Amino acid sequence: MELLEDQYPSDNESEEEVTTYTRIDLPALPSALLDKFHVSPNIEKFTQQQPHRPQMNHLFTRVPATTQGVKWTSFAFIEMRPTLQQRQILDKVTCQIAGQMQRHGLSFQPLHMSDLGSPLPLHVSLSGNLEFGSAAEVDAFEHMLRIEVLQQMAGPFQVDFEPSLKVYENVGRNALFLALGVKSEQKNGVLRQLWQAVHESFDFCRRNDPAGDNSVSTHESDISSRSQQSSGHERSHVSIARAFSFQGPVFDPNASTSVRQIDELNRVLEATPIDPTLLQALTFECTGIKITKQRSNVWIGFPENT
Amino acid sequence: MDDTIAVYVKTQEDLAFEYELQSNGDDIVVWKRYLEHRKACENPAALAWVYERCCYHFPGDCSMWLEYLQWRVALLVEANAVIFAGEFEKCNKLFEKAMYLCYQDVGIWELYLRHCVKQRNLGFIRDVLNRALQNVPLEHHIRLWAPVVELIETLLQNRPEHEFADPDLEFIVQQALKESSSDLHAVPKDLWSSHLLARYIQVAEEQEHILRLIGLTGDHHTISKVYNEKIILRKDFKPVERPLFGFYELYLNALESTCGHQRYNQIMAQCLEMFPEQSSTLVITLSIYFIKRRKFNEARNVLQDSLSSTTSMNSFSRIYDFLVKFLEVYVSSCMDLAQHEDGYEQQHIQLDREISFNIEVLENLMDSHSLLVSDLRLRQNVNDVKVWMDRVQLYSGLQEKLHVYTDALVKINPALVTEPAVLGKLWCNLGDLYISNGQIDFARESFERSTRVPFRFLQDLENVWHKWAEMEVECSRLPDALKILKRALVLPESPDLVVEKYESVKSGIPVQAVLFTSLKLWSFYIDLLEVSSNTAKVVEAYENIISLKLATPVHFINYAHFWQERDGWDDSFKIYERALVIFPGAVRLDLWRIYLKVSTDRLRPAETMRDLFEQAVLLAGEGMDCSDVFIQYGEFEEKQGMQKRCIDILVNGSTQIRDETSKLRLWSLCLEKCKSFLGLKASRDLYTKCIQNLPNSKVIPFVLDFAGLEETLGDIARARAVLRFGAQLAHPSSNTKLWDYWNELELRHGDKISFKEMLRTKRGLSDSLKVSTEDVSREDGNVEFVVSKAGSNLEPEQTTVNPAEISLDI
Repeated sequence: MELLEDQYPSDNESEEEVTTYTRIDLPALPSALLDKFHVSPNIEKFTQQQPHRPQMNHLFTRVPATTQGVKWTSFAFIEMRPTLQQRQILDKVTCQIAGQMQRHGLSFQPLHMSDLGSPLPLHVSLSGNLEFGSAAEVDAFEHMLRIEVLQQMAGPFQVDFEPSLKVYENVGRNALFLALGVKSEQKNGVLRQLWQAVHESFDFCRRNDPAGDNSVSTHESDISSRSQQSSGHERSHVSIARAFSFQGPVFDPNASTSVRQIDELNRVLEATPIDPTLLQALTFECTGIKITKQRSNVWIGFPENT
Repeated sequence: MDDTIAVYVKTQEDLAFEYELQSNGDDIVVWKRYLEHRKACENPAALAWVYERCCYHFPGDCSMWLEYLQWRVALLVEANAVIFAGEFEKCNKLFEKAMYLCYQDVGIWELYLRHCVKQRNLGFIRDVLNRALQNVPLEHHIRLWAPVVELIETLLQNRPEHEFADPDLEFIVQQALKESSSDLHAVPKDLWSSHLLARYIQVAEEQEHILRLIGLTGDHHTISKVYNEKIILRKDFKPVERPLFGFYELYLNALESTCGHQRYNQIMAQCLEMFPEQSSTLVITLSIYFIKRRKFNEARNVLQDSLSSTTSMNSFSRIYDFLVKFLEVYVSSCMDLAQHEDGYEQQHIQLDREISFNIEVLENLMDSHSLLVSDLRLRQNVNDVKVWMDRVQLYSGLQEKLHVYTDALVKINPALVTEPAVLGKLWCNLGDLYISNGQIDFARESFERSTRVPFRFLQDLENVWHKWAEMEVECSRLPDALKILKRALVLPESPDLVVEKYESVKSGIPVQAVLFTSLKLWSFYIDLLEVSSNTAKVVEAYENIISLKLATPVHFINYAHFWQERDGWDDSFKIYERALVIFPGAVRLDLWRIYLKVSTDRLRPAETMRDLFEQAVLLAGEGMDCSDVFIQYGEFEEKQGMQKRCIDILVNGSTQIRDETSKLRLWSLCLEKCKSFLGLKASRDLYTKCIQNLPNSKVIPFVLDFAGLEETLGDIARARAVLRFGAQLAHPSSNTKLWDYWNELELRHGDKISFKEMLRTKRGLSDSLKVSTEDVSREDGNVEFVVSKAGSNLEPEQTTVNPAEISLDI
């Protein structure tokens, strides 16, 4: 909470202080810099330790698959870098919902801040983990995706959210994600196109691979939500908070029970919609997508609107 | 003919030869003898008359013609071709006669051509050359060309070569503005030479020389045609005497006036590719090309583009200087034009615009010189972090600085940074920028990202973590700072193994893997933990750095102090003891001093203290000067009432310590304590031991003390014995104190006999103890004179005694 207090003025701060804070106009770090050093060097193979760094909640900071028996991986997503105001709203929403969820024994932590207090970007997944046989395939995928995006996308678009939050469980079933669902029109419109572009590009690059169909895989250690991996554009969302358990499943180990409990949570969340003004403030303009490539992100911009 | 005979045949000999010719006219030998005779007569006309008759008598004998013509040409060798034009003309006609009969003879043609060359009649030379080339077989053409080429060389030798390096820019700009095409430095064309050389090069073997001559003719059409054929298209032309670039320069110069812009650009691009080291010359040439065509914008753009792309400081300086000069000249020329020319208003407006725009460009160029140099240095090595740091200093605005930082960090490849700690510093500076602007969130984002950078050096990574934690402390958020440092210092399962791997294959393992070895971070972490008063975590941290073998003596001392502050004295003492096992002698001594002081202050049990002191004084055996520990130990025993033991300890110290000063100090203290605690008599043994133990050079004061003690005790005989012992240690001249004292002793207590005995002893010692300067010199550390070995080849001096010699005692 101290961290939160420091991030933005609290209620008891004077107007003057608020003004001073918002007066600052240095721009944020450019995405090119953040993308260049998206993933830390892999030290696990040298230290022989399990990843025990909780900042892995930076949910798509995926460890390159070289450590996991797969040669090359990638992942496509829309990045959302919340502004200060959006972070404040996310905190507010998370705190509000987290209070309700505590009754269910869940403690949600926001995902837009690392546990060390650094702002983190959020994302809307456009694929699961995509596995490739070689670096050349990843290059071809990137190349193909650029073409697909250029052909299929008319230009930047606004990403809006559904009024109520949803809970998703990850593949390892040791974490629950609190997520803002993308509006249906966009899910079935531009996001569907993007999913399609990503998968067509991927299929194109893996057309000579006999195991190509099975290459969109998930790892147990992957902490992004299962729905993202399996279903696709219908479940497009931005995860904003996470309840984590290292010990085992958050809910009942029985899968069907777990699904029932999640449904119940979702019903509770549906009954407490987010304030439309807050929701409106969380919308952002998507001007392109990103894919992970080795330890960096690659930006694929949409064509400019004419 | 009869008249001619009458003119030339005058002597009997002449007549005899004529008669012989009548009978043996077909015999060439007769003719030759006659010619010899004529030559001896020194009448050229008569000789020519005979030569001509001979040549016509033997029409197929070209050698006779050649001989005749050679003689004939030789007559004009000193003559001026203009003044004696008639004579030369006669000679020409003679050649023509000869050529009628001997049209295929190379020698005669060559002679004819040389004769033509001497007349400097270019049309005639070309005509003769053409005829010669038509008549003589191809294999002999080179011989025919030789005199012509020699003439061309003479003609061209004083012509200036085209000068690219320092053009008269002012003149060029002014001419261009006036739309005048006259070229001040234009070389007059030598079409005659260029035409002939262009033909000659088709058969010449020495291409490079002829190409150079063609270049000197100034005939751009020929130059461009021949150079294109012989250099550009062939691509295998490799000159020996001159650089290839020189030919391309000439070619470019020729192209300026002979071909279209496209061709010129094409060749210029080719040159820029082929001669990157000459890029500045070429760019300047290209800009002049544009200036001459009134394309001032293109000229400026070419120079500006080149400034922003060149990678050599030399090129940069040349182009920059040229651009500045061009802008200055252009602006001033435009101003002149605006003032002096009456034109339409529209033209004036256009000129004003041009002037103000170019002044702006010039000012901008001057202001941005440092930035342009910085650009250049970054083009040379984009991974030079110091250049980026300097670049930041060029900007005053925060936004610009931020842009430079982010630009640098995006462009620098961390693996190619060669200096430790600089890249980390760049990241820290970026964070600082946000911090100074109060944007802590962005600073955090920057620090968080910097920890993911695959730095080449550990210092870089530890600096960014340290800076991040420091920032949190400055923001009064100690728990966050601790969290950050805790994250940074997570230990792997087998730290030693990881460090070993890192050191063995250093380049392969990211520094993130060994961040836990950062002493800087551990120290900071411990400091913060101590402030946070979390005892368990402080202990854990200290234990970690000890187990990682990172802990310094200061860490141990701080660790012990940490326990002392919490009344954990036993734990504190254990820390000292652990440190004493780890560190080498010199450090151990310091640790012992602290440990003993703390233990003494803490009033630990006497036996424990004795045990500690006993362990500490063992350092004397390792050569450590722990005299203070002995003294401390002695004082401890003294306080315990163990005075004899105190003296024994000091005696032990005096004998074990190797340092002389400390030894003397200990002996003095020891003797003083002994006299004070045990009485004067008891100190006799100690004095004896002391005098035996100390080196001779230091012992005299103790001898005097000892003697004084004996005198006090009234045992004058013992005092004398002590002094006698002391006297033997040094020559009396260097032992005056002792002798003075002895003298006074004898005066106080002795008699005549004892005094004489003393003097006898002194004299005896003066005689027996010689001060050998050589021996003194040979002592360690002294300078010794040695016999020079130089000139050792000289015969040693004869010292043998002459047996026949007699000594005369006069």
